[in-house]
Amino acid sequence: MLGNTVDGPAAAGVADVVKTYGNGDTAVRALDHVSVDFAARRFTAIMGPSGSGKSTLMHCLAGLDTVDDGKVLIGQTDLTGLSDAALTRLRRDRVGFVFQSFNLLPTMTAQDNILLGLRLAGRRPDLAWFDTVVDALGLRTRLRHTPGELSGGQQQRVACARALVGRPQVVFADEPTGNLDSRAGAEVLDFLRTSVRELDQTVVMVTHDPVAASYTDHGVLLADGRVAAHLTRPTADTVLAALTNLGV
Amino acid sequence: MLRTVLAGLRARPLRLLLSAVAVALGVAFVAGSLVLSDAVHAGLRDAVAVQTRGVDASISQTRRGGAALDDELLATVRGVHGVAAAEGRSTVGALLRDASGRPRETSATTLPADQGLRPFDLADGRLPGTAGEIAIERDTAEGHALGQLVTVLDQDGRQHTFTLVGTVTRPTDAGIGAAALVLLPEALRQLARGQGFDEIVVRATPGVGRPRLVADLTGAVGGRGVEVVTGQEAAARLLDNTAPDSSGLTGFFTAFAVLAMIVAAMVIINSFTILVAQRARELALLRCVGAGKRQVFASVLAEAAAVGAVASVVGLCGGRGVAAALQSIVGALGGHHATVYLPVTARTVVASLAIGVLVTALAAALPARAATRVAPVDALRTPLEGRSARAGRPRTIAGLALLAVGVGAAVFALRVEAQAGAALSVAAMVALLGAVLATGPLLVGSVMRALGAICAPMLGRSARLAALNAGRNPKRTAASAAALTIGLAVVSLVTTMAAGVEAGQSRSLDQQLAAQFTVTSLLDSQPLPPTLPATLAAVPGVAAAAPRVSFSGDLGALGGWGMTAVRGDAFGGLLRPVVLSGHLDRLGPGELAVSQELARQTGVAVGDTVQAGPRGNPVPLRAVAVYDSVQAPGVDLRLAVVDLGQLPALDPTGFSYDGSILVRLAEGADPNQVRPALERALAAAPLATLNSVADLKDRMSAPLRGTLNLMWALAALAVLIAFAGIANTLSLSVLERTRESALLRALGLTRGGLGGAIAVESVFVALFGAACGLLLGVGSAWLLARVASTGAQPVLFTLPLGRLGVLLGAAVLAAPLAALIPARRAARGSLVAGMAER
Ligand SMILES: Nc1ncnc2c1ncn2[C@@H]1O[C@H](COP(=O)(O)OP(=O)(O)OP(=O)(O)O)[C@@H](O)[C@H]1O
Ligand SMILES: [Mg+2]
Repeated sequence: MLGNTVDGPAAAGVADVVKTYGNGDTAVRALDHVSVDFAARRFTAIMGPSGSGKSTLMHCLAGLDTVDDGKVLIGQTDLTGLSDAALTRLRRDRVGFVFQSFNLLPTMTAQDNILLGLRLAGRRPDLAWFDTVVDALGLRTRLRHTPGELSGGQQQRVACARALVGRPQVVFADEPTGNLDSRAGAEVLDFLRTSVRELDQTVVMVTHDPVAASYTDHGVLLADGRVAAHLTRPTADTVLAALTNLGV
Repeated sequence: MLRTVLAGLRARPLRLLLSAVAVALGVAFVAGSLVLSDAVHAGLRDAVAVQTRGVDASISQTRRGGAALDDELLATVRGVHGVAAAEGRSTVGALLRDASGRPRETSATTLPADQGLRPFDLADGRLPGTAGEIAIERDTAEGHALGQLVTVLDQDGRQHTFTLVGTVTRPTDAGIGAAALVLLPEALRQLARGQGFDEIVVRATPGVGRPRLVADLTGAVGGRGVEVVTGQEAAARLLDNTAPDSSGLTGFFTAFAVLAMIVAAMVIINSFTILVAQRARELALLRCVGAGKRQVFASVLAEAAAVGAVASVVGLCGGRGVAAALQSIVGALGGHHATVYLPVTARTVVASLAIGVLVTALAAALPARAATRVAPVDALRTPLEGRSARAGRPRTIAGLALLAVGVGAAVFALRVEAQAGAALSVAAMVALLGAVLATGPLLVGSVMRALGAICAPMLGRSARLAALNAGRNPKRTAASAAALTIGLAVVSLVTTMAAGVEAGQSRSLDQQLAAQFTVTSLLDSQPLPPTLPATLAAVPGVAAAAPRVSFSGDLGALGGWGMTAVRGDAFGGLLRPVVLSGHLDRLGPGELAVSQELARQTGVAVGDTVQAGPRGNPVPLRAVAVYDSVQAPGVDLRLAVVDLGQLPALDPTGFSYDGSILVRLAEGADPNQVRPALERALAAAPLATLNSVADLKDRMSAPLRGTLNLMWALAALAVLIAFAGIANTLSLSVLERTRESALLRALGLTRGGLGGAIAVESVFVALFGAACGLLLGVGSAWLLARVASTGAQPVLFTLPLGRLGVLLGAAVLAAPLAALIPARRAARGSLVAGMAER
């Protein structure tokens, strides 16, 4: 494989993936032969200028969208060519997500939202793990509240809990801190890092924020739908420098 | 501002289309009902036009005993200047033996020699040329072949045979009862001896004006009780005479139009409420950038009025389709091919458009006002999906108040006498309906949770999701269920009442009639042969046969009343009316039994003696009992009963009618085995017909069942509109929940699961509406049954489980169909695009 993020077995990855939106003159090549692997039990950041294809890559990896060419792997499973039903099963059993906004169903309590994925899959929640996740995120006292009664940071933490409670093979987070102030953002990032370091999870996160990237073990830089650079143990400074190199 | 309105319209074509569909459906329904009520009249007008076609002048008697419209007068008329043709027209009642030999009531008319004055067309064969030939209306002639002999019985029961030479048709009949048999005037005279014509119709020679013709004819034959009018006038009179009969049907359809309007208004209001609520954010944004409250409000109103107007016009056209479909259905239920009338009157146009535009504008105004009242920033901040309309305190209070009024009225209705009771019951029903509609939103939450919990083991996640979604906006859910509630309440009320009346009739007949058969005359006026009771009593297996006859009795100072004479020993053994006071084991000469009705009207009580009959020769009758009895053909006891021997003294004119014989079989005799023997015994009396108790019950409930079928056909449409409303609400909700649906799919809900949740939601809403409607309808039926029931004519409260089950089943099955489109929409959308939706 091309990327050098792998210092253990890969939890997910793409190989030579092409994704084009629209056709003819207005066609936009959002991913242009991208190959990258995401190591298991690592926290990886995907960075890059606006419109560089970060969200598209994440959607394709998570089975939310299809690619035009190339391979998308979650563990050993190739997502290209899977039926909609198989993709749905894969999403609920092996993948977790945190979106930038609108992660929760407004009608359900925080607890129901956290357990939603498991219930959809008809899986019995592991209560010890549920407690671990909820306590790590400090949500114990908020479980009976509906999203409307939670702050933005709390809502995002509920979304993180939901993503992790099913012990997915990999968690994808698309700008999870984009809507949060720095303190709330730090809480979420802290938790994501903890979940990788102490709970053995794999997290891939899209972010614009060099500070957020500094929480991760590894950074992948995208530009114009291609992988532009890799950063190991990124810090705010190295990320800024790398982005500047790209001419942003 | 106009530009933003237009931009808004363009940006939300789908949402607007859905609301427009709701408006169009509602208006179509209202227009359809109105067209239908006009169609009844249009049909009559057409039938009358056929009956009087070609008639330029009509000559008729203005009073009995005037100059007879005979051949002599006809000859005079034919001699008047300007008369091209004149024909005598008569219609007499007669019985035609159908293909199976059973006499059927119909009527016969004269064949005009002049082609232009024939109110029918030749369909097959030829018209009668001699007095021994007959032509028959095509449907009536069914089973008879051309060239065959047919038997016609006249009013006196005499048989006449004619050769069938042709069949005739009319472009339309519309139930004005035009005659089915066509005979030459001389043949008709055999059926009704010694009578002149009913009418002489005249066709003018070309170029002669009608007023002139009428004046000339009046000069020649007018006066002495004979009147000449133009053909138009004659038609107008005929229409006036027939129209009152149809006013019942017109009223029925109009009442239905009102029901349609209510249901339609609910559907329209609900869908516009949702539409404007969904736009609250957009409206807030407009205000944030500087639009005034009033501007925003006016723009919403203008948009709604525009949509309402366009949709109403579409609905008006659709309404004619509804009317056409209904007329075909009603025709099919009536077993004949109906002519379809689609008159569009000013009333229909105005009412439909007004309903469409006003209700739509109102429906938009209420939520728009609410939207402009909140601070714009608040409206922007609250996420659309999180905002829910909670039911408030005023609603609880209103609901409880209506409930109290309803229950109070119901309790009073059970205490007071029938007339006031019925009015109170209706008030109670309306109040209870109001209570259900008011408290609906309060109940939705818990009902949906319960339904979700009950169905979860079977349907899994879909049930829970559906329950959550249906319960999230109680007002909306309750409103979309309400239309169904109203529709089903009306249908189940009528169905249950009809079943109760039928069961009551059946039971009271069983209790009050110990006979297994009755024999009645096909012609009311024609008495059965006096020896027939003895003949029947002699049939093996028959225990008793007692004659009974109705007459107009003279009770002296009490006045004249419809009475019955029965062989006195029939009481107890054959007849057992409910006796309210006194004894009625038998009725001897000089004794009188009076009905509860007569006792109430005249104050006669048991023990009183009445001087009945002619004043010069009074007959003292002692009242021995007050009874109440069932009214069934051939068994009716009318207002008072005397022994048969008393009849000549009480009714010197000797004009009795509706004669019948009650036949009781011996213990252990099998009715099916005795029946053929009875039929044989009746062979000598051609007018006598044998009815079993089951036949009687059938005949008693036939009109009820006809009404019920019509009711079902109409109500099916009301329910259809209600489902269109549910489909509409669901579609709008699905649009509103696009992001949520995408999130659920992203989290692992399959397409089928998502679609299923929406289908189940639809079923839950339908169940809620249907259950409320059924409870309300059945409860009201119970109340009405209690109030309307009397000892002799009980209205039992029975649950027609089959029919109610069909209703509930149809509601539950139709619900997933209503969800089909919204469910497909929700399941098909792209995940990524769905998440990006705002
Ligand atoms: N549905 C779509 N239709 C057409 N073009 C699209 C669509 N989605 C994304 N694109 C295009 O694909 C490219 C990559 O988009 P993507 O959303 O992946 O960027 P991104 O890196 O996530 O940007 P940002 O940092 O602004 O979120 C962009 O040029 C975008 O315009
Ligand atoms: Mg993005």
